[in-house]
Amino acid sequence: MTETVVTLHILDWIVVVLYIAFMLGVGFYFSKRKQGFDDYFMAGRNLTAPLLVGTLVSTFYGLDTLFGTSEVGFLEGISAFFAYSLPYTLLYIIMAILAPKFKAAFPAGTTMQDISFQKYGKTAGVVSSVAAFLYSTNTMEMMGIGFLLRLITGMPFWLGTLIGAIIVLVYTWTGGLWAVTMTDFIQFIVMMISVGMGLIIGWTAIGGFENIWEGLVAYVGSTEDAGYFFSIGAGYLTPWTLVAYSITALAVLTEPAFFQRMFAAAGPKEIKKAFAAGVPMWLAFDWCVSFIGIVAAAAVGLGIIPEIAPNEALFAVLGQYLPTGLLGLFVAGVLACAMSTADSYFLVSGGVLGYDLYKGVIKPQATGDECERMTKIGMLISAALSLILSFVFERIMGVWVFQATIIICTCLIPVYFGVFSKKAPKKIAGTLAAIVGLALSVLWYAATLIFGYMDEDIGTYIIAVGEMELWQEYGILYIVPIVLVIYLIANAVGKETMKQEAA
Amino acid sequence: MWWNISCYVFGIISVVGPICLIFWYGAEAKRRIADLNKK
Repeated sequence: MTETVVTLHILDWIVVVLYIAFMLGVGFYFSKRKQGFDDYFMAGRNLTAPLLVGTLVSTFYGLDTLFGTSEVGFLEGISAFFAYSLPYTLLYIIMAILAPKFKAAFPAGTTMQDISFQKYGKTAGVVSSVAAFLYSTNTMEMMGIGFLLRLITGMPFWLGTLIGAIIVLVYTWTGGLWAVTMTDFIQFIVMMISVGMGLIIGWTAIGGFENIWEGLVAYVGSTEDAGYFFSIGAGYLTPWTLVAYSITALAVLTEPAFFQRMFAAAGPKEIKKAFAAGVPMWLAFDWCVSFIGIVAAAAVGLGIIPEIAPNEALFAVLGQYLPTGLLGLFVAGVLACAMSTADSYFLVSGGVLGYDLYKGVIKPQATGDECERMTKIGMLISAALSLILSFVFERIMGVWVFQATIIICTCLIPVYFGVFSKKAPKKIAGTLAAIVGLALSVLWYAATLIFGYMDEDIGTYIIAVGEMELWQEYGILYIVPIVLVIYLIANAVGKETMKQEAA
Repeated sequence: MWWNISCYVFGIISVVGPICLIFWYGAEAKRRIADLNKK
């Protein structure tokens, strides 16, 4: 056992335990009422806008956002919001425009990989499915839950990740997308309210901006350095750091969980309303988390809390200010952040095996029950893989860069050209683009690990070529244009389309 | 001053937004039940 960063009162523990019991209860309730695979995996394609807001926001915001953004806020100030969060917001707005078009173009679609299968055939579909499976492994969330349980209980990291995986797996396994959506809805409420109240109470208790400023000056040693905390723009961040942070935001456009929700929506209008209503929620959440990080830095400067690791800022400051009961709600909110992301990805990765690969390739005439069984097996494999990888990767952000690179490079070009091209795309174009995208992203990641060096200050692997520094994150910048060129050439010279094959 | 206001505004959106969503969900559910009854 290691030392805990916050100490919970018995009342706080009751709130946390009630929350977990409620999530399991919801899963059990929906396991009784589901009818068939479409109901299990797609919630009967009947999700309304408010439910979609809850599940979209909470799925995409996991512990990486919570701890990562507060960490950047603690170190860099408001650039955590302007440099790290705003690129994502821009892409959510783009998705608000595009998502109804996807739903209208593929009313019977089930997964993002469906588009590759339908537009380019089995090879492209299988390669996209492999990318979606790798992207949807829950390594980050498992690492986050292990980290969180270590902070509040002092239990070993491995035990925390195991407990987290079992709880999430139980209600996702039993209740499918209905359970995931309803729990996400509740988790969205808990996580939003807890960070909102956390900021309001923390900001007020420390004495508002005047005392925050005083604390920051004491923390960094000069008014000039404290000024960086509130300079709109990059703050301490260099333009290249900014680029590195922003590139991975492109994953919003190829997020398998978003596509599953789009196709599960009751109609194109519902998904449009959901994305539009989700944007202010995403913004508010990011602002609150960034500023809680700043409050923590000021609290260290004022001597209110001791020196802490940046990723412990959030807990340290709220552990200091939140009253009994509310602290329990906040811990439940943090768990909600992790669980709402983990359950969606377990289901998505299970669907890759049960729907995309089993029904799409191995046994097209498979019944709904068989698909559901294979989806559940897929979830188990994904959970096992997540746990193994959580012990392999040292950094949470390292996992995210790897997964974002794979999904963007493999799926972005084939999926968007496949849906929005006026003419039927050529099979060879999507197939080559997916294969090259996946292969290059894996090779690039391996190359940075083998030939690069770890820059501890920036927190990433870098390959030095003469004077140039090639960051691990930049892979997307090189690979996507290569994939685009390959796609365009193959589409120009290729002959066969899926329409011709069907005819 | 502006930082104080912005923090309270976003904090309040974060607290009130989900509560509005609960009412929205309730209204949608009511409308759907009414539609089903009509059919």
